Amino acid sequence: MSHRILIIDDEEDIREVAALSLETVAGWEVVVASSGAQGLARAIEHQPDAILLDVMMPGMDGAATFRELRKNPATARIPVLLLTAKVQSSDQRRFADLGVEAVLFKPFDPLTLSTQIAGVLGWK
Amino acid sequence: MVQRGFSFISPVLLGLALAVVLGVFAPHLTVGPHFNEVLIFAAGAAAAVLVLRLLVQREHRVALQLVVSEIVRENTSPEVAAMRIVEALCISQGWDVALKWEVNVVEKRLEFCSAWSAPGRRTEGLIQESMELKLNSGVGLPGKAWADGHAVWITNLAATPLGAHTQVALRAGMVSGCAVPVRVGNSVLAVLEFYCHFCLRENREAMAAIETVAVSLGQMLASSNERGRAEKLHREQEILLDSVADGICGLDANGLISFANPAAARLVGASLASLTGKPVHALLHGNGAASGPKTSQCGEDCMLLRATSRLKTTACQDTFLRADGSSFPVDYVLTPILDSGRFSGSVLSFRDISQRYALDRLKDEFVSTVSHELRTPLTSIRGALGLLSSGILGDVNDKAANLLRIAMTNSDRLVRLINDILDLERIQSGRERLAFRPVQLAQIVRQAIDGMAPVAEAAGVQLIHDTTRVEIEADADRLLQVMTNLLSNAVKFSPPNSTISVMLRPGPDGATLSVIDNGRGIPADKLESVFGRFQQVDASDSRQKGGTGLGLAICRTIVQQHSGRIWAERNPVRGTTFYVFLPYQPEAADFSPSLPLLL
Repeated sequence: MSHRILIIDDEEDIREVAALSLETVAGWEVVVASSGAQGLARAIEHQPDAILLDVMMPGMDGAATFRELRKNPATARIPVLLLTAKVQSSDQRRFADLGVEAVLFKPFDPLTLSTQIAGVLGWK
Repeated sequence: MVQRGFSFISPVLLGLALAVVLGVFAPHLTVGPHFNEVLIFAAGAAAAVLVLRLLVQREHRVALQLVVSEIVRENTSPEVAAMRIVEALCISQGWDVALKWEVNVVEKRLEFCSAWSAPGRRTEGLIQESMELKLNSGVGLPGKAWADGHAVWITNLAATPLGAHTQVALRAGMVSGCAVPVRVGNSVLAVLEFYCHFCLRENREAMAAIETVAVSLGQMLASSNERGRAEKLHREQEILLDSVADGICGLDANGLISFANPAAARLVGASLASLTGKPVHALLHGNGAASGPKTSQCGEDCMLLRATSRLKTTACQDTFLRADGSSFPVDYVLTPILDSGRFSGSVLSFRDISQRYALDRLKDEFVSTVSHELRTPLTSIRGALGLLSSGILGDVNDKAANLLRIAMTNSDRLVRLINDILDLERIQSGRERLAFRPVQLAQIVRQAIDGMAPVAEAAGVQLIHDTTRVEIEADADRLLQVMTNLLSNAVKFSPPNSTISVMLRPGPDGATLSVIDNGRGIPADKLESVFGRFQQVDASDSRQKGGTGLGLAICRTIVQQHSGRIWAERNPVRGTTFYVFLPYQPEAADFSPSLPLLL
């Protein structure tokens, strides 16, 4: 079964690799956004099945973007997974407090990224 | 003056005495009818003069002593008092000039210190010349007094050869001279030298007076030296306390501040005067009645509250209040003072560590940022390499596949390195406080072995352990990290079909864990250095075994935080054993307690 994933990350290379991974390994449809604001707009427009959200972004960071997604009824029910290079436990505690579905760590294994996401969300 | 007059009388007395003797034993020599009566009267007068003379001399000595005592009692500076004493002596005995020489202990010679001269005596030349002079022991009149250790009186300077200095005195018209050493205990501090234009005969009374004066002077110098030393010590102490950056407070037996240094006043934001007499706990922790931002919740375990009764040195991190109600983090040490075994107060020294906190936060942020910055490009690298090498984007020939494998292995290694560096930094900084709770060591061992099972199986190595049950107070997650690290190393360096054993042995103070392998072993001279950062036994190890060189450094830090020890030993036959000793109860204190101050 195909799913649509929205990837929000300010790093172009990571967007490309992650998109390629999800498309070729799992055959999912991928939409990308390069900032929190763009991500909000794209989420409303494309209604993805899940959002992969980077934490460290200039302007509106991951936490702020997540809060906006939750505030907007059009996007409030879309599950969000954080993708972050910040691996300290103090950071992790903050992320857990946010209320996201899961936190995935960078660097990720491109061959298992889709399985990880599916596992968290209970897909397939 | 008077004494000088009396010395003239002596020849007169001698003449009179002679006349008396002649009159008695050679009466035919008498001249007139009443000669005998005249002779008797003259003899009587002479005797009276002698007795009077002795009495007056004694009077003088006593009077001089009184004057000297008065001067000493007045407590002026020792230099001024010394000069006044010398002046009194000169006036009393008729000396025209007095010179004070000080003993230079280092150079072992006399050096001119000061001089007194009777007015109008033209002694400037003598004084001037003396100012430049340095006299060795035995040289000149003062040098002789110093060498002999007692007063020296020269009635006729011209007849006594004592060197160039005496020649100068003679040229200045001096006839008689005297010098006396001024002592403190057994050491001579100074020499007093006196000269006179007239012939001043040595007599016992005069010598006794001079020596008494020298003794008084010596005592005065000794006590002023003592005072000077005490003052100097006090000044040095003050300078020390004033310049120290830590706050230092002396507390009395009731916990009231008896003194505080400027740093303490500055840190607390109050004036020095306002600190004295305040109860230290109310000042620094706030009392319960205060309506400030931090109302006191200090209970039984408040160190400051128990400052009055504590007999052990305490070191603590805490928060103190400033005078304006704001608070600041401190490191403090409270040391009790025992006066002949009784608690008489304490000394509190503290420092503001908010700077350190700020620095720590900065370092924290830096490490976190750097780690994040390094991971970001690695994500793309790892992702790209992973996709390429999987073949999912198209076939890859063997050579290309190998290169991709190499690239991936190394980017994985980079990721592990970043993780380890971050880990080590976090653990060593101590900011990630360990969570100590009762832990079954055997359980940790089991967990570690289970985690390593797939890797061990792939390497063809067997992992076994004993069943000893030991419980200690520890941070389970961290210990698991240590065990996993040690096992991972053991597997890495063990040949296929070998065994790695984990043994647990309880002791009186704690338990010792050993991980025994049959690998190629560690050279004896590297057994300690392997625990250093980025240390590996062989440079080739890094490439082949994929290690970061930080694993053992991390293990050691964790073990040390448990107040334990970790070390390695070569096995008798082959391989290495890593030992980890963990006490049943790790010590919580950051400082090693020191002894209380004993007065």
